[in-house]
Amino acid sequence: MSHALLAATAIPQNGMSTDKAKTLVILVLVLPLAGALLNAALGPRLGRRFVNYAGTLSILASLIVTLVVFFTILGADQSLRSTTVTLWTYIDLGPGNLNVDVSFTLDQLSAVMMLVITGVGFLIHVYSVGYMEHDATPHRFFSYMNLFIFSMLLLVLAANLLILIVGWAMVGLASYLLIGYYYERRSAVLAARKAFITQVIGDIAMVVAAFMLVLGLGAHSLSLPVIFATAHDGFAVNGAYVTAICMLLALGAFAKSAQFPLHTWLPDAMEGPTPVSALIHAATMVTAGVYLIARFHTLFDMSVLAQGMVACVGMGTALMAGVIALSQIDIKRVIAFSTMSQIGLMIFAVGIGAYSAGMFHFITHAFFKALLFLAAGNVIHALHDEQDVRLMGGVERFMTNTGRYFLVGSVALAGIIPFAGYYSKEDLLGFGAVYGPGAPALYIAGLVVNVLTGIYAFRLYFLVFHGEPQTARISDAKEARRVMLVPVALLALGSVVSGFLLQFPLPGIGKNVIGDWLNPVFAQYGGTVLAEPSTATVLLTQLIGLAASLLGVGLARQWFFFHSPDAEVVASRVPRFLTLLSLHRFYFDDIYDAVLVRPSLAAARGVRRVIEPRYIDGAVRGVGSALSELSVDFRTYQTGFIRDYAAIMTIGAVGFVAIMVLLVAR
Amino acid sequence: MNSIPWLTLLLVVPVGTVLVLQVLPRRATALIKAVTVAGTLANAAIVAGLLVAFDRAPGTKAYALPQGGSHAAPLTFQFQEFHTWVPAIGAGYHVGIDGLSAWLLALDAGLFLLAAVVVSSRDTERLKLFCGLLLLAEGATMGVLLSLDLLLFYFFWEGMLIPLYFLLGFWGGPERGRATLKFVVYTVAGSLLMLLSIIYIYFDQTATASGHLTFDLQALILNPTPTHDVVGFSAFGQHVSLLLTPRQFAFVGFALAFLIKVPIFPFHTWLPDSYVNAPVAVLVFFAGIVGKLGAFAFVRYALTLFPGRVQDFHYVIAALAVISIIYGALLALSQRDIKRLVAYASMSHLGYIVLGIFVLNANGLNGSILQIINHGIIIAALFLIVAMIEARTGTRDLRELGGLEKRMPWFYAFFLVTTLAALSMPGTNGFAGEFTILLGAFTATWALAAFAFIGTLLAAWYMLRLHQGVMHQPLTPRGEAVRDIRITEGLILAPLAALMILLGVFPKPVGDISKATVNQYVSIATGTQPTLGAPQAVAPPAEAG
Repeated sequence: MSHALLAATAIPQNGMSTDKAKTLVILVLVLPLAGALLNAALGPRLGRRFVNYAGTLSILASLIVTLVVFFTILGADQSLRSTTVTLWTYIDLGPGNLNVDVSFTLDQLSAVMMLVITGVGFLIHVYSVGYMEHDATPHRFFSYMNLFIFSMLLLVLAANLLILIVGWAMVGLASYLLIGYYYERRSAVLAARKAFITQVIGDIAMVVAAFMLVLGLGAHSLSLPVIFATAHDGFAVNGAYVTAICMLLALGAFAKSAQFPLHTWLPDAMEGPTPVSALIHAATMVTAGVYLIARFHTLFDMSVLAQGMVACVGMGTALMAGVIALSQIDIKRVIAFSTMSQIGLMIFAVGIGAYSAGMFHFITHAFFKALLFLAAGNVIHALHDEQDVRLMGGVERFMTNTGRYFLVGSVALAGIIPFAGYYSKEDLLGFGAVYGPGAPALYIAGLVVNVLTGIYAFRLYFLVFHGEPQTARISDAKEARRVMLVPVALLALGSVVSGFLLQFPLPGIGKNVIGDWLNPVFAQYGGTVLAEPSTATVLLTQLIGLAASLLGVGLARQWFFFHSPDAEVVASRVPRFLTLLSLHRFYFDDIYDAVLVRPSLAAARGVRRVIEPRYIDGAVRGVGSALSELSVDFRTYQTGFIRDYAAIMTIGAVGFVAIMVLLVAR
Repeated sequence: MNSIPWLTLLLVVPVGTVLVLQVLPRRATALIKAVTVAGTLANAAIVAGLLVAFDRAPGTKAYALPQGGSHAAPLTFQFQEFHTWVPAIGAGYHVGIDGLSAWLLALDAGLFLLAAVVVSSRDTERLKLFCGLLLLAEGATMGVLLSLDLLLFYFFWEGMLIPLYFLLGFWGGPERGRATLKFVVYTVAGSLLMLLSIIYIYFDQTATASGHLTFDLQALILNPTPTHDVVGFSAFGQHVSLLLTPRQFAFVGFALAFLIKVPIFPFHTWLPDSYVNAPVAVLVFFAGIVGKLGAFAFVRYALTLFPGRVQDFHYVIAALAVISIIYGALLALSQRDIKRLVAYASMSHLGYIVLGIFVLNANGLNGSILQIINHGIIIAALFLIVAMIEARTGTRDLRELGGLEKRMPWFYAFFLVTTLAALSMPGTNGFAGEFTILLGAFTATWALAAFAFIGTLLAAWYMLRLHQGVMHQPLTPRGEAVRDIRITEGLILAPLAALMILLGVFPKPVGDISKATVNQYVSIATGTQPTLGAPQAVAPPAEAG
């Protein structure tokens, strides 16, 4: 690695050499994978200390390599910032057939993703050392966590759609493994299965999109640069074909990012240990859908319909999840629905073409949402796995630091100036006021989301940390250990500064760091970068957005500050149908169960109990016995088996021939 | 290199090993096991050498016609050997390998080696007989893959049945009698139809001036067949048409034999009974290679002997394959017996292989060959895993199993990898094959792929139901005293799991060997291959090795 470090500083002004890019890609991927394999194979032997070090240090090493990548790209000229390298040939079936390379791209977009994945990932790994201190199989936990980091890096680095799909599915696998980590709990097992199968739906959509790209563009290599470079010649703008591809990709994105209609797995995913929720189900994996759409901006820019659909689904999910979050009583589920809602905003942003705004919110969200989960984890840990907010209250008295950090996270989430969430959320809503389908209709919906966010964020904060303790054991709660506090503190720092440092809202004042960094990527292959709204619009939207957020916070204070925690509190404040929808999560689980799961199982049972024995095997047997009855001396042949089957086979064969004849006859 | 008849050795070694076994005393079990492993190992070594020496871009070779003269061979075979066998009827001992059979040979040799290792790691009654039959089965399956003469092929094809009959009949589970009978009768019925078709094709070829007829595959492919009218007959003064030409009937005869062998819906009902009652060492190659020989024969014979005619039927068979995928998956989803569940999962997976063949394009066929290898590895591992679970807990009922991960962490790791490969998780070999097959299907008609994806989704469901049902949830009483796998068991599973991952990230070697051959098969099947009607001048006459 020192070699790579030296090489990184050697040629500052040029692009990355191929060899160096290869070395960096291999290092950044192999380090977490090695950590995973080491822990899986040797962890049980070498014990907890080894596991903790192998788990965290491999991610730290990967983070260092990522920093080298970042600074090399930063030092390169604008036009030389993207490097694509091929490591080996996956499959080569000759010209005109499938022909795939294992290749990776290092550019501004993948660098941002890598920084968040390894940076936030490292902090969460450190935190996990404390959180999992009493767990019996830490090697399993860290092995899965490292596998996740590897898969996520594979996903964002892939320069080939097939490799991207591999990473895409593997993050789903890591998520499955970690949701089902406490495998003796039936609820965890079922939640893991649900998450996995939902992901498979998304994976299939991606595979079909890949097939369509092969057919439509003749892109037998599935290489992303080739696809993007030929898309404009191969597809008609706003044509049905490119729209279908975008819809399929979007479906994949929705499955991963827990957007309507494939969102139902995320709340159940909270069965996993809390650091998992922070890393996978808040900061990184669930934002992969945002990354995917941003990466495929060339295609999405070509289909107004697909973009409009994505924007509407994003905002719709943001609203729906915001409403559901109002009534949840499990501390992690409130944050989970909040995540769903915030990702909805990001999906909305990339749906209207404001790609860097979407990515900006991804970055700030990674900080404050990981913070909220980890702080909640501290509380859960201190209260011995209690997650019901009705049984909390007054926790701040006993866990001062955690309480403060949680407040920082809540403020950032609600979007109050000068915390990070404010800048990124108002930035993307500002774009929404001007661009997108039926603008500013969705923008107004976004303001409602702001109000909802303020309410549920502070409802949670007040219920947990304020008021009177609802159970005796809260007074026994102790502040978390330093290994669990320092990562939270660092995330809190990020939740404060990552907003205004990266992007100051007013054009002309300060610097648009994130936009300047990412926009060249989105301008590639003839892409258009949305122009910033006018200064007046920006000012106005920022003020209105802030007012909406403050209104939400104010309502939360009004309703929950002095109240003792109560599950039905919301019920008396909002129309009854909303409460019912909220409590039942819009009935999606029930609908899917009734429409998809039960009928499939019934069909499977029907095939096993009726069709197979009675008609397929039964027809065979029945024809046989019918024949034996016709035969004159059937009673003398007591062992009619061979004869039966021979007869049956003949009949079956004749039947098959008849079917073929009917089908083929001219 | 060609001075040594390597391919004949592949047949001689198993038979020779059987003879050696006859000399050994019945009590010397260790020696019997060692000899059996050595015999299969020798075959595996020869196959490995053949794969290394295999010419990946062989070009087209000249083919000496029995009628005299020569022609560009439609299929390029390597390491060929030819000896006259029954000259009177034009049947020869003609063996050779191409990019299709090369990998199947490797799978065949590998799985029989694995079966021999499995046998030697446990106690078996009448061990000597068992090992002898196992080796005979290896010889027969090798013969099916190697032969390039229709009569020789039929000889091995039927010969395969005999050792299998005894292996299932003597060492099978409680319902072995019924299961064996069902299997044998089904298969024999199919084979007889194939025999009729072979005889028809033989007499339908255009004889040369000297009256030569031949069973040689290449000659039959090249032979311009007379065009026939639709078959019909007169009855009561009416002409009754049977709607198909004789040639089409012949195709149906072949197709039925192979559909039963694979098996494909609705000819599958022998499969669950046979698989569930078969001992694990037999299942390794029974499920791993014998079923795939049906798929192999589809490509080698059904695609080639009816140039241009395959298109009359290929959507029918592709549709049956898709039905098989979904039907098998639904049956797997509703099973409680884990062995039966795996048997139906196997049926569903075989549907993909046949689908890839009958979409008649290079992606589909290459994918099928890849998936034949992949599925052989995966299904062998799955049946071994089921056997390990049953041996430890004494049950195969999902309701009585659960929580074994707590007791068997190493086993869990292998089972996890196998589960993922079986549900075509991207990054495992199952995905590489299925992706390529479905790309081919999607190219042919998107609807085929669309329905096949239902099977993919169901596969995730039933495989997780199996995996989680056994490994997760609270530990059941059956699992209380269970120990993790022994090192020997780990050494059996480890290479299989390693291959699942290796071929998942680097499937290229399979395609490298198959792609040139695949192009030849596809062009013959779609009728774009020139036959004797458009002769090409190729200089040297003989069969260059």
